Amino acid sequence: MATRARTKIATRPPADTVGIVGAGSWGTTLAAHVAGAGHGTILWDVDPAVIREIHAKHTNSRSLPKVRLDRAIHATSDLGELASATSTLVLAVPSTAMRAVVTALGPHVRADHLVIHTAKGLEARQRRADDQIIRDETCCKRFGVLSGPNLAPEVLAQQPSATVIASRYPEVIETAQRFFVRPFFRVYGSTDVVGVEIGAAVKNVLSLAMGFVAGMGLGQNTRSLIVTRGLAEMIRIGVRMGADPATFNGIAGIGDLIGSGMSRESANFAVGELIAHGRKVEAAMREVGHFAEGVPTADALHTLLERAPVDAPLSRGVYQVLYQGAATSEVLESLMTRPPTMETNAHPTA
Amino acid sequence: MRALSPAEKEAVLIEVQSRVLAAKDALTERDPNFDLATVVNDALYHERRRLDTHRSSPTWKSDAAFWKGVSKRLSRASDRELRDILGSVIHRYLQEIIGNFDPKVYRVATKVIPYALSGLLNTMSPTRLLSGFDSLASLDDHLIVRGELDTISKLIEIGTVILVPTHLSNMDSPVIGYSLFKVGLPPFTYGAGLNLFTNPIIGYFMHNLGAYKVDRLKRDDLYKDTLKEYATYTLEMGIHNLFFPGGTRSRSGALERKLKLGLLGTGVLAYQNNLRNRKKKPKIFVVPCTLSYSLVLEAETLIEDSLKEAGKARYIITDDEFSKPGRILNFLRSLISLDSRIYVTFSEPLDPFGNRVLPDGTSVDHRGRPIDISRYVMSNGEVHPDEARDAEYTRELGDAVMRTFARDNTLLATHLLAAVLFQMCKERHPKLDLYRLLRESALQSEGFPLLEVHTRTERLLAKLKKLVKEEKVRYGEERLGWDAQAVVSEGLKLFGVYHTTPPATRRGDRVFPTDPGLLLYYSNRTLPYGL
Repeated sequence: MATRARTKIATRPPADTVGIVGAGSWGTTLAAHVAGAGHGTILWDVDPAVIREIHAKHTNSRSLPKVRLDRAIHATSDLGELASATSTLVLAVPSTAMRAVVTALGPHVRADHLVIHTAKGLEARQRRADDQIIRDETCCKRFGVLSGPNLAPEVLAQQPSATVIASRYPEVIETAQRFFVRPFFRVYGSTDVVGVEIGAAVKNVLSLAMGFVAGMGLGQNTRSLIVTRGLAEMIRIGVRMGADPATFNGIAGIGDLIGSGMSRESANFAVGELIAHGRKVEAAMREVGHFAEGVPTADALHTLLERAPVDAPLSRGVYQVLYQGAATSEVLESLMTRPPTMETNAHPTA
Repeated sequence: MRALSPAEKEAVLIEVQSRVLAAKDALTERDPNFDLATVVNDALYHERRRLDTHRSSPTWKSDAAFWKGVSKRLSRASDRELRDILGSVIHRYLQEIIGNFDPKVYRVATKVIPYALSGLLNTMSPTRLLSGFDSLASLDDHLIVRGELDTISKLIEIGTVILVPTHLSNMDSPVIGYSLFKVGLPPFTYGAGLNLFTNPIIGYFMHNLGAYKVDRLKRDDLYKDTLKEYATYTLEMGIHNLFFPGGTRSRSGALERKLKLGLLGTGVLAYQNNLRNRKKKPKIFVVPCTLSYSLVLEAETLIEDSLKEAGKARYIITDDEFSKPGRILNFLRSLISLDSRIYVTFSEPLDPFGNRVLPDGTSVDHRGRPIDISRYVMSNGEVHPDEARDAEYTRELGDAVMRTFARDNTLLATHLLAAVLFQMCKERHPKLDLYRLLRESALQSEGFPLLEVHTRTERLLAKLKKLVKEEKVRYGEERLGWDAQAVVSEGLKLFGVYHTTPPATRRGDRVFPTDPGLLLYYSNRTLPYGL
């Protein structure tokens, strides 16, 4: 990983310090959120310029322009320092970068580190969920996933929100609640790691579809259609992967789908909208200025669904638009002209 | 393993009893809905049910009297008396459970019996006897013990080992016991079903070779807790343990797909207790072990049980081939006279958290980096017990054990031939459910062309060769090479010698699935590999 930017690290005990890996918009938001609650906060990023700016000006103009950060946030680009000063690590990097970051982190972590990731995707190359990457690359066993309808600007503005921390280890749930709960931010626990990970990944793909619909100038009827049939699809995929279907009726399922599937603050939605306007995928992402995790996830999900067949027409439709050059109108038409079927008993898993 | 003196045994009993009681006391303090009366009543309820349905138990009379007394005392017991009753129940359980180890019996069993048995078997085979002393086969020649033997020898000096084997047959315990002796490893203590102690001869050896008694008919939580605490304490004493993590013999012949995590979880508990007590050798190592038989002694009963879906009802089978000395001798004779093999593979050791362990006892992550495993159980520098966390660690360990089972399972000619023939049966009757398929296949008069069996076996061997190269499974017929005809011929030969009805028979240039149930049983060993 690039040159290190060394700074004085926090002096709080590791048990009361959270290390946040990745100073993107969500990572920086989480750092501000945790520091705001009075906990020790160390923010790591690969880019020394970002670290220097956080220290010098208490801003991160790359990811959150115009936002003034808490002065208590310590920043570093040294993963060793980060690991030694903390006992909880939050991996706020996209799935596409997860393996590289976790591989770099691997030599520094200890068996007592609790690791929480916030990625909402599947690894493209190996189609592995992010928790599996943590298993592959580190000695850490106690990990969880944090996910929910958490648009960074609204969390920073301290608007009431909620999220889910899923882990098989009660200690991880309790620790996440200790660090993240604030009067405007509720943190619910869950043991369904697979459900929360799949919900987050599929939600991003469906948010692109919601963006397509908005870009095509279609109204609430169509949006409702995508949300409800998208949810049914999410449940089918989740159940096939071993998730609890009830998870998708909660914050990490329908909650996240509504949150980011209806807002231009969501990179996936915004990119989808621009694609429907005729932009190429890369151009749309450049214009939005944020990485849309749904794009590589649509590809990874497509491969996953080929291996473990599930009826997922919306996800396939998004894949056709992104990777096979299909027009959004063409895909929508083919979806709408499929043979009629029953609504509620159509949950085949194969 | 050394023999425990009566005083040491008494000390074990007192320690385990006090631990179980302390755990119940702690639960009472923590949980307002929990009380000791419920624990005793639960044990009383389950024991009464057991006594109602299993009246032939040799200890029925004394058990019934004991529980009658408990019932009487319970109705008017104060809190203090309640605790005394609970203590007496745990004490009674422990008296039954606690095993014995007699080095003299061990020496006899390991040195004399294999040769005596071998001689006996060969005497029963006149052609072998006439062919001269040098050709006399011994059990040794047919028992292939391999794997991480050097590593395990070293680990035994560094810490305490839990051996977790696959379980196919009641022969497994003696086979493993003898394998350990053969490769110079010390004996292990193990929990054996109470039913195995009812035969006076087998029971004598079981008792004196370190087995402790596990009554699987006792279903109350108190019994399970007592058993688990006893196993944990023996580990802390440095006594190497053997558990069958599948719980019971595989009914279908398949590798274990779900493990009983209760006893497996003793590793992480003993490790924490050792750390807390600052033991010199606190580490616990878990060694998966796979057994592969060309022929399984009780295959007929087990697959029948599996197909009847009666596995639960007949959880403890007392009338199978293991209870018939004639069948055991016939089985061993077949084993020796036909160059059949039993493979015992000791796999790469794991720690109680599922990480790999190096010969020096260091745990390593997937990238081979050393891990300070004490940190898995510590909080602020202190050992911090956490039941939910430890259950999750044990689940991960169970997953790692099952992955190891699949990787170190040894496939033999009988498994491969059965897989080919059963697949051919399925293709001939694609629309039939399993039960009709088995019936119809047994009735078919035309069989399968031998040539086609050879061709399919060749294809299967090609796939298997690739998997073996990728170290996803082991192949045990190296002496046959990858020659399909030799594998088919070997499989048919073995199928023809032991079972009442051979799983398959060759007549002329055709092969007949004469017992499709047994074909299913042996083919199930190949299930994880998609052959």
